[in-house]
Amino acid sequence: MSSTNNIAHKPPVRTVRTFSLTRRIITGVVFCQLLLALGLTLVAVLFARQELSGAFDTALEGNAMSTLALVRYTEATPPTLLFDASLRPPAPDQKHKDLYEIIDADGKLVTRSSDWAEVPAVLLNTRTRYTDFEQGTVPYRAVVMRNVPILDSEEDEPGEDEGPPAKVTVIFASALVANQERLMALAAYVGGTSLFLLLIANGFAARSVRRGLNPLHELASQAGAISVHNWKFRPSPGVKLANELSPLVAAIETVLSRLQESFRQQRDFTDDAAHELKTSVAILKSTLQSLIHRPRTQVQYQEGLERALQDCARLEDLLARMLRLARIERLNENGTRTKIPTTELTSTCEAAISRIRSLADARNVRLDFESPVAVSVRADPEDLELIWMNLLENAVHYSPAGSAVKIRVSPNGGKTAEVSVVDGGPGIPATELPHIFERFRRGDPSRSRATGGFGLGLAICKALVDAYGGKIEATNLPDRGMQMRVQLPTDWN
Amino acid sequence: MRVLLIEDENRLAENVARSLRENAGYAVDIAGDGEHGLYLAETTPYDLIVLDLMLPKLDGHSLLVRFREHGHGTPVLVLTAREEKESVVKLLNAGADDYLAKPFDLGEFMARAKALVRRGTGQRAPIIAIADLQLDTVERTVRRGQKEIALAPMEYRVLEYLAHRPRAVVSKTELLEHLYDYNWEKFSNVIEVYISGLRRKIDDLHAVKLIHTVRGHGYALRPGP
Repeated sequence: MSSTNNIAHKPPVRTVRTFSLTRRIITGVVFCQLLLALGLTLVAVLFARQELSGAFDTALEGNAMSTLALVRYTEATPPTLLFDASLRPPAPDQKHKDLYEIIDADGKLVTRSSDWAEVPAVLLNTRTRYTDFEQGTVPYRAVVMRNVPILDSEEDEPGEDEGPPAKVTVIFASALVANQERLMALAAYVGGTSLFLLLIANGFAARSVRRGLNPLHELASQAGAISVHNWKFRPSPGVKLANELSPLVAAIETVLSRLQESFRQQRDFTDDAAHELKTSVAILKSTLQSLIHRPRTQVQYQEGLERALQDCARLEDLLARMLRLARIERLNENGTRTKIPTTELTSTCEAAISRIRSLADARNVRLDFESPVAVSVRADPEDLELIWMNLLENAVHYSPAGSAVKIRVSPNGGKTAEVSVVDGGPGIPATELPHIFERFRRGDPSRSRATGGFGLGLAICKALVDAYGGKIEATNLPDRGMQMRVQLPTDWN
Repeated sequence: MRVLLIEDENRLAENVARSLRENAGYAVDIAGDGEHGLYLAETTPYDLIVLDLMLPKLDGHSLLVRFREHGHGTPVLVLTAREEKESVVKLLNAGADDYLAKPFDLGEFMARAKALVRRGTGQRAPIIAIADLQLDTVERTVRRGQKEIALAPMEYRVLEYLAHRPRAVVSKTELLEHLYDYNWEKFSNVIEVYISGLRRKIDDLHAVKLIHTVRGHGYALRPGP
């Protein structure tokens, strides 16, 4: 039934995209290196540009001066300025020829390069020495030199009559194209080299990342080898000493030891349960077999069958207790209890006392009940009654005839209420105290066996108290008797 | 034959004891815990010890180890609720002669118990023959020659004990110790009554006498004097 249900309610399989840690790390590394390469290229280009433009300006000025040198005075008087274009060297770049214009002090044009239809206004008005502009679509840079005196190179010593030398304004411009092309080439060179080195470096990085992740693979294969039959988990020093892995190793070790412990407890429980069940069956079987072994009288058969019925009742009791315990523990694991009523403690205690009364009377044990104030806790009344019943049954079994079992309800400060059960017995050995709530545990097996105990009563109590978020503890009283204290929250959320 | 049953489960002990008494005619003592069991086992001459493993005070395995360490050779049949191989191996290595897993079949239990009692006295065959006397320990029947002899239960028990030790002289005290459990008052003259009854039923009509009285020592079951 349950297995088919499980299959039916299986959640639909979602496709989850997996990812590779190696790829992530390498992607990060590549990204960083790309940034680095980009920055490097940018810095190189900026630096080169500054250097190139400095050199360009010097060259521009030199060219301007050498063009100016072609201006000379005519023989006429007064001498006028003459530009001898034939002396200009041919332009190295025919497409983007240098442009120039020379104007005398009066604003009269001395010369202008033939390709230059009109000098842009921006050059005429500028006050700075160097100016960028576009001729057509081609970027140019110009130097504007004002009031440059023209010296007659042919006159060794200027005559008295000639007056001051003429002053001209020279505008000389060269195309920036070549400069830009050089910059582009540099950028391509630096960028390309960076990318090439980056590729090689990443090959190494990928390799070392893969090697670096080896301990992780080892850890995975070791963790994968763990099973119920093999609890061994001994990672090599390479795994243990890795700072990143040591928390994982520690976590796995902790989980493993907890799992192993709970497996051990489960196995112990199964063994104990099997032992109790087999014993109960053995009793029933032996009763019936000894009955049919030889012919019996009617009365003997009657007695034998009654004994067999008692044996069956014992077996039923054991099964009921085991199932109850399993059910409570399952509830505890699921942790969901809805609609918990508020229950008055005194009435549940009284109900349990009345049910245990006949057993106490038979063993001549007194039951003293004290409940000074009415206290309510959040718990199911039937569960509470079962807790008190088990505690009382246990206490009565361990109390000698003539002694008393004391039950006391007290409001414990307000947040919790306490019920204490004290028996009249000698207490139990201190070494047994931590174990008395374990399943199938019996303080003194011979005594509780004789009274039909299975060692499940206190385990049931603990499971129930846990379920309601309470606390149960056992202590030996200094003078005499063992005290069981149950604390339950009065207002439990 | 006298058996010690060390078992803390009252009902099971009662049933097993009843079966041993009714079906084998053995005297049975019951110990409810390991310490008492070890005390009885070491102070009383039993022919068989039936030992449960899960016992209060002293567990069955430790009891067995101590019992064997002290040099006792009584056959021990262990009752266990755990069938794991290692625990069986551990038991046999600790000196157990046989084991039965709970819940067991009472018939099988009786057969194993009888076999162990026989082995304990060196008698392997279930039918013991002394001259023409035949004692079937399984069916608990006695015949001499072709004739079946009807014995009272106590007479059979005396004869069975003597037959397990043929030719040996068995004292009255030994007989008393092996035929009665602790709940019986023991009077040695009771033995004389059973011996004389046995003589009458087994020897009276035969020339070869089998039951002999060794004065001052006890009794012997053998063809010659």
